[in-house]
Amino acid sequence: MRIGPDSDREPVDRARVEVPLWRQAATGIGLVTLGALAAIAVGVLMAAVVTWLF
Amino acid sequence: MAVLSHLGPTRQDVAAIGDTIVVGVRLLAAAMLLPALVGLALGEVAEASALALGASAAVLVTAPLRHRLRRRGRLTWTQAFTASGLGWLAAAVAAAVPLWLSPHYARPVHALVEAIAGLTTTGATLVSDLDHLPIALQLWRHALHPIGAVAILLVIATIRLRGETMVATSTVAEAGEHRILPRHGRSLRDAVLLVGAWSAVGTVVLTVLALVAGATPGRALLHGITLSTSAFSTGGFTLTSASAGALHSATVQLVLAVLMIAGATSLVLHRAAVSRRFREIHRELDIRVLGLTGAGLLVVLLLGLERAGVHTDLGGFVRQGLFTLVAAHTTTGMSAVPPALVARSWGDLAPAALVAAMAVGGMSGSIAGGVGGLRVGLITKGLVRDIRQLLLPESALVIERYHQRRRHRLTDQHVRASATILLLFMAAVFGGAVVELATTSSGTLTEALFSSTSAVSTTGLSVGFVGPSTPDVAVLTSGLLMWFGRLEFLAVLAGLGLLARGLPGVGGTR
Repeated sequence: MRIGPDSDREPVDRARVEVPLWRQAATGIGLVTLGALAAIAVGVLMAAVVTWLF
Repeated sequence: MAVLSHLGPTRQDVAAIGDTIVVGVRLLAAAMLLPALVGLALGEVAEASALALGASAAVLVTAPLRHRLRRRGRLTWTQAFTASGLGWLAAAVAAAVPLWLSPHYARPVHALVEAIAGLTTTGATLVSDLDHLPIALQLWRHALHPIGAVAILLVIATIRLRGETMVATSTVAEAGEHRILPRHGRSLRDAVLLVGAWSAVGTVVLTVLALVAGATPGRALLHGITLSTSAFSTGGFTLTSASAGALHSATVQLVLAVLMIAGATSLVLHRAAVSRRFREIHRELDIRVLGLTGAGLLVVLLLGLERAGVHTDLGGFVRQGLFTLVAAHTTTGMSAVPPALVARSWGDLAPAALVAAMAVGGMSGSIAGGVGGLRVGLITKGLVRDIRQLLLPESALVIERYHQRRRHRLTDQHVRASATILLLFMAAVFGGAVVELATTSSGTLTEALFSSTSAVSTTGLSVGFVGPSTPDVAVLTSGLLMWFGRLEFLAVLAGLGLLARGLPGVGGTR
């Protein structure tokens, strides 16, 4: 699929242009990893509070 | 006689279910060849031969069936779920053959339940002398986790295709005779890509960390492959009996925790992450429930450890307490603590928190087992709605809503379906505990409940109640509990529905 001013094809629906697979995987893994790290950070913080309390 | 001829599944049902199972078993047989080749390259001739023999046996046994059983058209839902239930067992039998031929498994039942634990992503092990198991067999038993993970993701995708919420029991009852949609090629590709991508990234990171921790390059790669596939598949098999503590590295434990949480994340959220559609993610019922149960149970667990006087500094709380809770809640079952220590030194409160975490499990529609965050949330919301209805005037209409991908109105059907799964889960846990207690000479009710909850939720955390020295009946019961729990009783319901079809009063159609 070509995108550009010189394209002689039908106008391309930009929303449907495929993102490369590796980029999709990197985005998915990166964002889920961030979420998981945030959850673990909250857990560590709670453990620190419990240690401080006792 | 006219009635009898209408009993049970039709010839088309048998052909469709049988054909699907045969294809699954043959794919599993093909997967045996990779560890066989690795074993051959490493000079493990006996193990490579056992794997080749297992693959050949699977192909030979299914050969006559392959010609007789031919599926025509797409599967119905009942056929698909019955096939997945029976297929899991058939695949476990095929996968157990190479293990059974190894001297590391004392009895055939041990090999069978080890294979069930692998394919159901439970990860409880019955191997003798795990630390000296040949690499070919290590690779084979670890390969069962991602195979099982891909299979369960395929089942989840099938449920989702109809656009239903993941409450499941209503799905089979309503849609038993409908054909499943022809998108299985795409679903299979998505499942393989998801498990493959996460496992590959995890392998690279964990291999580097194992090298840093002092492992030889070959051993580091082996640790990387096995730990990452096991953690993301929420399995729990490991190379050594020290489980997650083998590399003595806090960073390794952090990476494993991330992989476990990712494995317990629903397919819906993985897709949302890929497409960056996060607008209402904080409203997702699954996330809210797991956030609340995770935080609450962490406090209970840490108080339990404090009372028991073990791991009482911050390092112990995090590396033993928090890590074990993550392993239990994601139903992975990797452990940084020896099972005997949990049984003897952790007291009652901390193991009780682990049992609750295993029972709740991960997100509904993920690789993780357990009742599921969504179902627990729906039951709680149903209770809240009923209490509010009681407190308000009779004419008041109480409407409760929940968020799963989009906003839904809570219906009685959703609550009933979730409650049915919860009741079946509890019945399996108590039934399993009673059988295990009755057939073993030692052990307490607490240990039996821990063990059966661990099996039904496909977690695999152990307090040493079921092991290589346990009687066969208890071991087999444990394996059956894993199988029941993995398919969330769907396969059993679908199979019973298929058998009951056409019975007078059931109202089946032919």
